[in-house]
Amino acid sequence: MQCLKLEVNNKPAILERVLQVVRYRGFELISLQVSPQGMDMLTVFITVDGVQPISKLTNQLNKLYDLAGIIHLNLAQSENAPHENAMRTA
Amino acid sequence: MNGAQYILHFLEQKQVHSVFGYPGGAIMPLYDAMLDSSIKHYLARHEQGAAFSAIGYARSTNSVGVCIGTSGPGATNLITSLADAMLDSVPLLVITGQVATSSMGSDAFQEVDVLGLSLSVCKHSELVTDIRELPAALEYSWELAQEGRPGPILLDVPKDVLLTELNDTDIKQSSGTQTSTTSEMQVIDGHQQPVSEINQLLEQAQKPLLYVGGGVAMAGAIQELNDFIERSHLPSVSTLKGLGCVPSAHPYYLGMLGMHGLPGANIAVQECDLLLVVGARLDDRATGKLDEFAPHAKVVHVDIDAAELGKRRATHIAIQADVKQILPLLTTHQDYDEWNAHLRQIKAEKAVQYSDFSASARPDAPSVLHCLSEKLPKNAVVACDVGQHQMWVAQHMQFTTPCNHLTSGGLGTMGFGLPAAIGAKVARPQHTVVSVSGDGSFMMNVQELGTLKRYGIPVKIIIMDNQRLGMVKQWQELFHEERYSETNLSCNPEFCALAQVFGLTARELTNNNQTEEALNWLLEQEGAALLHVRLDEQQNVWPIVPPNTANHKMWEQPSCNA
Ligand SMILES: Cc1ncc(C[n+]2csc(CCOP(=O)(O)OP(=O)(O)O)c2C)c(N)n1
Repeated sequence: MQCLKLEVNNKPAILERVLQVVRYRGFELISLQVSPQGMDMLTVFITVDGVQPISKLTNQLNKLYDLAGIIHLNLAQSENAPHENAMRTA
Repeated sequence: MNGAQYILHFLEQKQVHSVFGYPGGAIMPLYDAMLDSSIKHYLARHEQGAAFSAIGYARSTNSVGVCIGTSGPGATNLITSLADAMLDSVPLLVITGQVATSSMGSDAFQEVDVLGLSLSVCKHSELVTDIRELPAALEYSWELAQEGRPGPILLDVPKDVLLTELNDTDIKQSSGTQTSTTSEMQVIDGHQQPVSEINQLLEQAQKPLLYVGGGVAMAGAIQELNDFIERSHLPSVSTLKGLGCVPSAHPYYLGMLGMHGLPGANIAVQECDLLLVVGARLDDRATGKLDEFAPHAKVVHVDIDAAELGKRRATHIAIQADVKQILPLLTTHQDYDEWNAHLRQIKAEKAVQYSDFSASARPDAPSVLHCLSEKLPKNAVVACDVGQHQMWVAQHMQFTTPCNHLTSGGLGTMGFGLPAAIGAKVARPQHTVVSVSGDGSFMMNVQELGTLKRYGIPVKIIIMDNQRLGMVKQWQELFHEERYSETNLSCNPEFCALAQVFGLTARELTNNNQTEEALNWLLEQEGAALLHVRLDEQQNVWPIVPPNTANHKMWEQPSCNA
């Protein structure tokens, strides 16, 4: 299982876009948590499971126009202080 | 200025001269405004045709194609073309009308959730519900269509937004985040693997090979590619969409690889020790059985789309970059003489023998297309449909740039050829445009003959008629024990008569020994014309790599068929 933290523009269809990429690229959604961030943004945490390396998913998510950043939270690290691998920043 | 007028004003600013589309209720304000605009609209006879024409326009000029449709059925008819543009990385701006914002979500007449439908077939899409967002949406859609890896962008605009007046004062700036990577070089996976490492690999390699994809031409890097080939003496193979980047007569060039690739190209890939992939995505029709693809090679992959790097085949070095910037940096001191001589020998042994048209026989498809290719000017555009004839075009015709070879590569959409040819002829009226169709594919967008007639567009059409869904028939023959299920089209209409009622001149080619004369006739016609070539239904495309098989285990033409 892998956890990703996404920062996205709060646009109609943004969650559909994210979930569609997750499904189409062969990952199973385990959990989803969404919260507003400021006026125009959302923070989305997704936990996914899949046989492919997580980069196959993050590379595709990175192509979403309304995505501002992805951080891969490494669950293997201590739960209190998840290790943040910046995949991209805006 | 209202929203509709603004859209046309925007397109004028972007130097768009021609757009393709089909009107209807929700998009009527835009069509109304068109009467007062300098933009020339081409009315297709089906939205799919309109969008394929926009694709033909875009691909033949390496610029953005524009297409317009109405809500509901207009938009759903566009979906196939959007998917086609998505898979072939074609920059499109598609504008659809939507029902008025007040009725949205009520299952109104001709309402369909276009934004929802668009998600998997567009690079990006947007529903513009506020007139103040329209200018920014148009601007970034235009940029996004072309930037990085190109693709189709859809803007769905409700009718009331098209009719709302736009005040200069309340234009909103884009709230979108500029996220796509541009041409600036970026090294993937955190490894510091600069170009010099590629050069080191080139130095060490005994059998390097260049794998050229459609991205090279999209990046405008054909010159840089050929300069690199000249200074490095690297042999090269091409994907379907890369055809035309390297001149076919070039001594180090081996032709197209893949399922219907040339033997020399497929063998070279299987034998090479370094595969340098530029502007390509290693698609399954090109690689054959992936586990056995290029088994001895270290793979270097350069592409603008990071998601393609290592997607199907692990790489030794992967660089997300504009190939135009990388190619000039590549060098080697080796000359690879032995390797080139070896490949040249295979290429010569496997060279195709064409008919000299002296024998009386049914027309031979490869020879007809080879002869056509010799007769066409270098700047002619050839569009084709999907099937055996498409592969014959790729194998036996020569191109000087992928912009002159319009083929539905990723989606493989029958019905692509005629409307794509129309778009190309609109974009490049001074150049000869030929559409090569199969009898099955031709009927998929046959209504576009009406578009030819309406505007007097002088496209030349060749129907390679085997009275079969030939490619499917070939698979039934080879892989399904000759169980021919629903591939017999001997009920076809009389194609010449059909063409004539749409105002085209038409004739048949029934005998091999009339090939030259018939092709001369076609190319001499002033207006739109159709040549109906009656093929032997038994003719198959060779070689063929059977499904799930390594590319070097291709089947070649059985000698009894020769
Ligand atoms: C829209 C669409 N439907 C179905 C197919 C599957 N298909 C691939 S090739 C082919 C046969 C094409 O026949 P034709 O156009 O006559 O060309 P030929 O192979 O005979 O040259 C079919 C049905 C497709 N590629 N596109």
